[in-house]
Amino acid sequence: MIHESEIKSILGHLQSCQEKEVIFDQKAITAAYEQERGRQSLAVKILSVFGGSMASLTFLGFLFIAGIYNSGPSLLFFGGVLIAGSIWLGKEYHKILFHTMSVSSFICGFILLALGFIEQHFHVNSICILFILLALGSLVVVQSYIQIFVALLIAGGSVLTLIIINNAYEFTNLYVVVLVVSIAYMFHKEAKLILSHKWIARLYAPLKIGLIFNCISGFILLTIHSGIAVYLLLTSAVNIALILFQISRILVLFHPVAIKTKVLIYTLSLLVLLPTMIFPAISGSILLLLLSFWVNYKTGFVISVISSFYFICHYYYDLNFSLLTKSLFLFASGIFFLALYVFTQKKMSVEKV
Amino acid sequence: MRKIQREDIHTVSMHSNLTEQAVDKALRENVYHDRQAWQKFLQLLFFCLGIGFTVSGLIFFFAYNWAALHKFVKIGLIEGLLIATIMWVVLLRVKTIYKDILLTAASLIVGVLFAVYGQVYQTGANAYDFFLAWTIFVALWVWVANFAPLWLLFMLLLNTTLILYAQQVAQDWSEVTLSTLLFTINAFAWIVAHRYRQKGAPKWFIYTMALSAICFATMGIVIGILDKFYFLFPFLTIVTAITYGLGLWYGIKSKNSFYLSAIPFSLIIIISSLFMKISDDAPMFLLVSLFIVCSVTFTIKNLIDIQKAKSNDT
Repeated sequence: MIHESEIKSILGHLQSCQEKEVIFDQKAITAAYEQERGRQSLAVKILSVFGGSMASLTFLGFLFIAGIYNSGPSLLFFGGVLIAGSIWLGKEYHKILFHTMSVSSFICGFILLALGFIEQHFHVNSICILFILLALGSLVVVQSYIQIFVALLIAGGSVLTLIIINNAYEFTNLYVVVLVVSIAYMFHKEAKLILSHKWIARLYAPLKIGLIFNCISGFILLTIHSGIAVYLLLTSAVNIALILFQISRILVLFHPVAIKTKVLIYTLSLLVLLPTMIFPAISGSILLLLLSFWVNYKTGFVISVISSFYFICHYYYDLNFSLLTKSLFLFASGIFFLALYVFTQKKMSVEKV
Repeated sequence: MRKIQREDIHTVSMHSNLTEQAVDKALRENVYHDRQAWQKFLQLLFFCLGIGFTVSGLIFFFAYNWAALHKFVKIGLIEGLLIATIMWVVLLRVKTIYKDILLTAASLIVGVLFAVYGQVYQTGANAYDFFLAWTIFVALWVWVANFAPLWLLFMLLLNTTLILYAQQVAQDWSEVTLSTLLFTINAFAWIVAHRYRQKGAPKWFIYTMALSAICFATMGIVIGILDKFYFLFPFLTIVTAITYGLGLWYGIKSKNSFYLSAIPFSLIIIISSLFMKISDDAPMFLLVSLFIVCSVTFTIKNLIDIQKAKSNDT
């Protein structure tokens, strides 16, 4: 448990950020600390996800061996009961004892529902739409971080399944753009969002990671089925516009910056990004990288570094040139970035950037 | 006073009349990166991208296998580059981190050199001896630089060499034998890195080594349980038990959540496979499912208790 003195010093510091006197509900704050501390660690989250998934798999194994898999109504019934039960458990009992159980029931419930609908010969489109509604609807009631995260993955996965099943790959662009804009908004308006409503404040952290995972899944689909070039260019244009906006925010930190330097920085950024216009995953993952570093979000940063590396490799692998031409491009890019390094080092060392 | 974290600001803002401007200010002052952090990040990013792209260009250039280029020129070019990079490391007056990155690039060029050698003399680019030579010839730089990413490259090469050796030469090795060897190597690296944690071995490297050792131990033991009896299985079990015991002891002593989650999770998988070995009927699946829920809950509960105790200590 956090010390009373620590809470006081945190409150004291936060008071210094506001001129008007701050009124704190110290009892509620202490209670919130007692409830949440420890649960927020990455180890607990990863254990919950892996433990929940493993328990779900073995439970499904039990149901299948027991012969429930060939009865649509019973699958639907069990699925519904498991989802409702998991939401109820998460809402009513904050005790850790029920945490893993509610996570695994939640995952199991959705799998059983999907199998039940398939058994009842529902069309995949209807199942996906139903899952999107169910998953997003569950966000209103679910309490736990992992449940919110899993619900978002189910919603995102259903959208992508809809796109794949209907061969409507151009919609991936729209999906990715919506996600990228939402993430940028979330990262830049953190204060506004967490103050807007308690529900949004509770959703904020799992929403962040869930949207990043969904966004990267969208990028992966875009790299596999790129579709119509115009849509790809439009997606890249949105990504690049957001990157330029992000650069403008970074430059504020380096105030004052000469107009000439600003123009040079924007031009160089465009020079780097324009050749990747046909491959929006690169600009998208670079944007996620900059945003994650901007708000000091370590998990997002690591994920976007790995995804940027993957998409850049994919980009060069997919380029329809000979290995020799590709090597020249790579060399040129390498020299360009080394020149940028020298440029930034010189500019920053004289404190003029 | 401990550093204010994002979660603190979120928690307090939910139960106070803090304004948006105040929360934004608190986040900027305590959580978000400042100018210095951006300076460091951008410089390192550009340097890594520059070196990375240049070395990739080199790899693509030689992968092109330009027929017009004489073998002497091919190998000579790479060796020239290698010498130039090393000279750069020795003579350049920059921070150690940049020299270390250059040495990592030089280590990658050594790989290119052996690949081209294999290409010219048709020795086969995916043979284990290619990775073995690469591992041996960068070992000294790895030792001298003592740079975690370079150590990671070295460990990757060592693991790859061993896996390819098992596939291409020692085909009579069982999966348990290979897992035992890989576990021993990675566990050794984990223990050594852990010992040097005060002298700058980064946490991410120690945890990567620990995680790979735990993965190989889990794989080996699960295969040993589910498959027939293997000669090295008792040895792997005993060594793993000792290593896990030490890991848990250290985890409890230092209240380290990584060890107290990774090791128990591996144990949960091992015990589950033991149950499955006994029976694979429906009731056993239900029992395993309940066992996983209970054991993960127990692990999480302990983790939270330990974290609470840790925050009480500080």
